[in-house]
Amino acid sequence: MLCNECGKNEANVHVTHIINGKKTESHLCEECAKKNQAILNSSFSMENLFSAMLNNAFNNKTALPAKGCPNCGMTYDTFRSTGKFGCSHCIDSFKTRVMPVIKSIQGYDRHTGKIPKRAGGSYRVQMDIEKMKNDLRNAVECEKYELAAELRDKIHELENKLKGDE
Amino acid sequence: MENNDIVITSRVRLARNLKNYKFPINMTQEETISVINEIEDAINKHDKNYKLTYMKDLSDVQTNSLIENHIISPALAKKRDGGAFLLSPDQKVSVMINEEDHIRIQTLGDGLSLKECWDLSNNVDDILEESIDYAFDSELGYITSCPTNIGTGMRASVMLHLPALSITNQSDKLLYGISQLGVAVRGVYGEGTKSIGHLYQISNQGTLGAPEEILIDKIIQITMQIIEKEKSTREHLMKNNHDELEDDFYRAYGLLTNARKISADEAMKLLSLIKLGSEMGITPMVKGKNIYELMIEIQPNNISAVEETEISPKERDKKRAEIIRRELLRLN
Repeated sequence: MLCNECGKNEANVHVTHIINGKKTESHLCEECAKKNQAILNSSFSMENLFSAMLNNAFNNKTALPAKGCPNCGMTYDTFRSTGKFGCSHCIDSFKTRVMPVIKSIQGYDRHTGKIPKRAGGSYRVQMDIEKMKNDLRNAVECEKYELAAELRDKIHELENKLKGDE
Repeated sequence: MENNDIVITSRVRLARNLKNYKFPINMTQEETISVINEIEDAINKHDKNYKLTYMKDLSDVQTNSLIENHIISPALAKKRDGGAFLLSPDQKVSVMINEEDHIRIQTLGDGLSLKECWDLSNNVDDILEESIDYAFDSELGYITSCPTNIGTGMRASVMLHLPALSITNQSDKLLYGISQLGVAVRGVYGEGTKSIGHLYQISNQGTLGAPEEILIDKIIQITMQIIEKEKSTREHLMKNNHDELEDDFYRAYGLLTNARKISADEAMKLLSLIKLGSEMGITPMVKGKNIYELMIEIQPNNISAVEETEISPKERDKKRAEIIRRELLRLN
């Protein structure tokens, strides 16, 4: 008997599936059986889920760069099948397609964690100012005026620094 | 019973990429080498004791043994060509290079030490960033090769030993429950979520939208709940099933100290039992912490690594039984 899948090699692996009481049999060669086994054993990971969700986003017809990512040349199709960006610019190149999926998987679309000192640049300073403004409000509410004055001066200092950088 | 009996290790991993290079999936051989050089230089400026190892210089047995010891990831093992890692002398920090991302900083700690691991990872990250231009976006955070790591690029995980919950068939239900809280659960050894030796790993699922400290705190809170559940189940077993357990533990001990050949699966199950027995004070002749080390030591590639060559499964099972007998008698 020949393999049901490839129709070329001799079938020597015989598999019986019973799904909802319905019995099906398949006869496979060793090679095709291995492939099937790999599919069955592949773990249900976030990466797989991500690829699957990109594939399902048929309604999203937003434009894509014609020649793939301008920086590294990766096409959207390659990204969709691997689930991996080719460079740090790909996310911008495919933004309109990727962001909705990131948001639905991660639940958020904005980073609120660590900001690197150099790469973060003025953004890090802006975030520091935001945080201090928050602390200042709390200090005033708790009538800690000395702390509030200190924070106010620091905020001024940082805001001036930001203006200087611009 | 200590919390450290239940939480065996903690781990924090940060994914980072260099702005001016294509990501590993897209890199040439020359590019992988210059990325390795840049990262080595950046670390060397602060600490010359890190040791650089190229994946191409390792045998299969050495590579798999590093995976079994949780020093490198299985994904790095596949990067024979461009992969490398820097390891701190105490083996607590491993900087994997050209895995899925250019940089994966991984720190390991004993017991529930996620905060310490985060501090250490954060520190190594600061050191690297002094000389390396990271790919960072003010809205999306650290840009990673896979969008599921974007933002903080952080995966914080703990390894738990949950024998009481497992033998009372509560672990599946509990772990399914916590997976609903945005936390990923898997078995440490064995395929998929099936666990061998009642060892489980839980980690944060999402990496975007919350600061690192909050993500870590969530894992700690959930872990504390699981610890309480495991402890109360142990107390319940002690009260209601003491005689059966005592018999199970001594049988396990008897097998382990007498077997002449043993598979990794069987050994892991029995070692898990005597670890529980010692922590419950029923089999006082063994110490739980040493048992976990033994669990790692008897993994297939670690046995081969000691022999410095690939040995047949049959020989390995004999060797494994020998190591267990020797170690249990030594620990006695």
